[in-house]
Amino acid sequence: MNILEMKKISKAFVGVPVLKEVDLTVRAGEVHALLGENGAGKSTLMNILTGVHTPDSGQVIFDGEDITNCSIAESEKKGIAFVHQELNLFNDLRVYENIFFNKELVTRAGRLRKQEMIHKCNDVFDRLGVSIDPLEMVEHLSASEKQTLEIAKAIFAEAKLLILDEPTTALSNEEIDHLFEIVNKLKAEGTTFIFISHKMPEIFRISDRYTVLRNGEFMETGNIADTTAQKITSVMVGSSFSTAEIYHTRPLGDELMSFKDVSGPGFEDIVLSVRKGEVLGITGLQGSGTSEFLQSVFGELPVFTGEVVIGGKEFRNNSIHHAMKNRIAFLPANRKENSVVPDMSILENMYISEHTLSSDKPIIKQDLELGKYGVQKENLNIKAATPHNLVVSLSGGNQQKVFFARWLNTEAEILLLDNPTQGIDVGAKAEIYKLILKLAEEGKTVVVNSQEIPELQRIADRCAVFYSGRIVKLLSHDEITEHTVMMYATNAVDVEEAKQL
Amino acid sequence: MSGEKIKAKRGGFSIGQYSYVLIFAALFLVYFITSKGQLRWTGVTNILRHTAVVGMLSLGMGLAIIIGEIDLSVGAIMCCDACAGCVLFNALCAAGCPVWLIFLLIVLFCLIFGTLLGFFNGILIGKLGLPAFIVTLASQLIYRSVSQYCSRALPAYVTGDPSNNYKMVQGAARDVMYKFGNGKVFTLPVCGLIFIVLAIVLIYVSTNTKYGKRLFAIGSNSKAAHMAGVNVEWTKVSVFALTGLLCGIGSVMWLCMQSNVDPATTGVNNEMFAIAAVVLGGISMSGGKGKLIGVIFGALSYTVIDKIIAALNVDSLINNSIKGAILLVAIIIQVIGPRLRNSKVKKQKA
Repeated sequence: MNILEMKKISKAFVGVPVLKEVDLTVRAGEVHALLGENGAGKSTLMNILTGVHTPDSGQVIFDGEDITNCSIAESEKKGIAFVHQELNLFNDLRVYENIFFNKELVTRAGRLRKQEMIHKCNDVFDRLGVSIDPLEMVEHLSASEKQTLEIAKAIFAEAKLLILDEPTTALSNEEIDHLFEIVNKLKAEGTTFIFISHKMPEIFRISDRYTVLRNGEFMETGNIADTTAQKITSVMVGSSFSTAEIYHTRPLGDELMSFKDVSGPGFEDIVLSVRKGEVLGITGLQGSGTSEFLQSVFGELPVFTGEVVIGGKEFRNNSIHHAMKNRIAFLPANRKENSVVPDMSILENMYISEHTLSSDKPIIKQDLELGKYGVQKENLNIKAATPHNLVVSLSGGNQQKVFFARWLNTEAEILLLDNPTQGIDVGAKAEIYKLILKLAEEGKTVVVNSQEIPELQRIADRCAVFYSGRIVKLLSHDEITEHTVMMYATNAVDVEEAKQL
Repeated sequence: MSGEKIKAKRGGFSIGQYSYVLIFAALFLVYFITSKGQLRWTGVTNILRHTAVVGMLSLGMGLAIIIGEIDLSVGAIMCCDACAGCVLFNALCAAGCPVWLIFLLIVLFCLIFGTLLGFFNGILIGKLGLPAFIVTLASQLIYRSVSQYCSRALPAYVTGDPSNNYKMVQGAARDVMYKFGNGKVFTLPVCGLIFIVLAIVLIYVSTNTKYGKRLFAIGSNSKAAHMAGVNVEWTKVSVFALTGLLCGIGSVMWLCMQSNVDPATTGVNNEMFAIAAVVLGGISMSGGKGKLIGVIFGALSYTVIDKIIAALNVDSLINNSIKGAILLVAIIIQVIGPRLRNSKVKKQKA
């Protein structure tokens, strides 16, 4: 029996089609994997299902009812629960207060029936086989406990269908095992799951069936048992899987940067040597220390021990400013939080870093800056009407190019890029890749942290794979494949299993 | 596309952006009418004179609010600095210093002492990361109470007054300073001119220097500013020190204009008027947005309200109700105005 049928769903945002006649059929009591690259339309499809967006055309039937145009509250009532990647919990409230938020049990006089709520929490936690104290403050919970709490909330809402959006990104292997146990338990009780993930081994472990989307189009659906990771991957990535498009080997310069037994918060004993003009990819699962490593080199986080040599000189970093003087630039992850100065114009955003280096000349020469802006705009292909518009008026990809320009203006030689294509659409991503390779060709040294292996395949000369803070493998360009990287990044998949997938 | 329209707006002229000029013009018109033709040029220049001290505090407050903080101690710094300056003045007079030296030393002392008082706030807020609201609330209490305590604890020959006041002792030095404080250049009051000149300097700094841009960047997104290499901690310290310096200049003006300080009343509530002037001037309380030029008009508007009350001969105790009401009108124009415009744009889109 099908619990959910989404038929011929189409959706466009400001004229740009995001979904084109997508079908999704989920059977009652199964775990259904929804697969696709970033930007394939998975979240839009789920947002339509949960009532965040309304489809331009198509039909959604859930549990025999047409819910095509229902609101968020209505879809919740019908029994659809979305466990978001970013958890929607109140850190300053207790566990049971979170679960019962806005659904509190009260006496007729309006007094909270705390004991009853706590009992009910305990019952559900017993059912899930977890031991969380309902009186604990949520901020003290671990990432996996918070995840469990979200699922518990869904159970209290008597959800029939749970959407898990990349639920394992913040979890350790052990915690993932535990989460899957819970999923299996609830599945046995008849709950249906839509499971969104990029991690193939997990998908094969937990799912019964799958649907693949690519560029907003329905590609394929079927039983997990009838397919392989290889097949699914090629359906997911399609023609963009080819790597030879833009990458070509270049002569590299001498060693520019070397790390010897460098340790810091979240990473240990890093040994690396980077040559001038090289694009070095670093990757690993969430929490493997790649981002922390870059932040430490830039001076945002302290380096505890070890020796860093840049350009033949020992480099002791104590501040961001010191790193910048040594011609190091850092494009942080989370653009909105760490890069965007929302109340300032494109031009001002582009020059804020350069200004800190040239503060011996305190007065701004706008003509000069406008001239250079023209050059950068051309070089980086920034699509902006005028430099005086607010930076937030640009699309994500163009904003990111502005921040590339911000650092190029400091005349940095070493570019540390932390997830540079996060939240950028596919077309703009390709432009960023080209840009990175162009910069490398011009002699800049680039270190890119990315969790998207296809990305590294397209641009990296070498790739260092991190596992819980250490480099476990250094791959040459030709060795970078999703399977090899995953194998080392998880450090748990043994070679045989990797071959099988 | 409607998106482009919004973009075009920013470069062009929009009334909401300059509401402070309109408010000032409207108030001035009311003042002109209520004075029933009695308004002379001196009456107009007096607005400038009476704005000077609060204006200095407002400029400091403006800087603090631009970086997303606040300084509740501006009035107390001004008062404490003026008291200390008065004590030094009396001591120097008693020591028989030449007039020019006394004047010079008082000015230097007040500027440095004000900067130090602000710097103390700055270290706690910028370096230690304490909330500005609490830190400056505490320092406000401290600075004022010290001023009051010393008025009794210090010998009368330095306070210049046996009661709880500070008075500059009669003599040539006092006369020179008084003449300066109440002097005029081309019929314009000196203190008012100093305020306008310093405001113009600060406007230039805030719009045309790298330091100025940094302040807006910190107020807009301090994490991003930090990641872009801005030394957020020390920039914050510098802003509070600068605010202290501006209060110090205000205290010199006060001494020169009044020749005495009452630690119980001088500068009381001035931080509130300064905040109001800043908000009236169109600077966003959340930081990062606005123009310092608005502060000039904001501060002037508040003086005009005082004048209107005086001209109407109504009970001066109603004064603050009117100020409060005008503040509400100003904030409604600033907050509701863009919202109305946006909803119009949205409707056009649909």
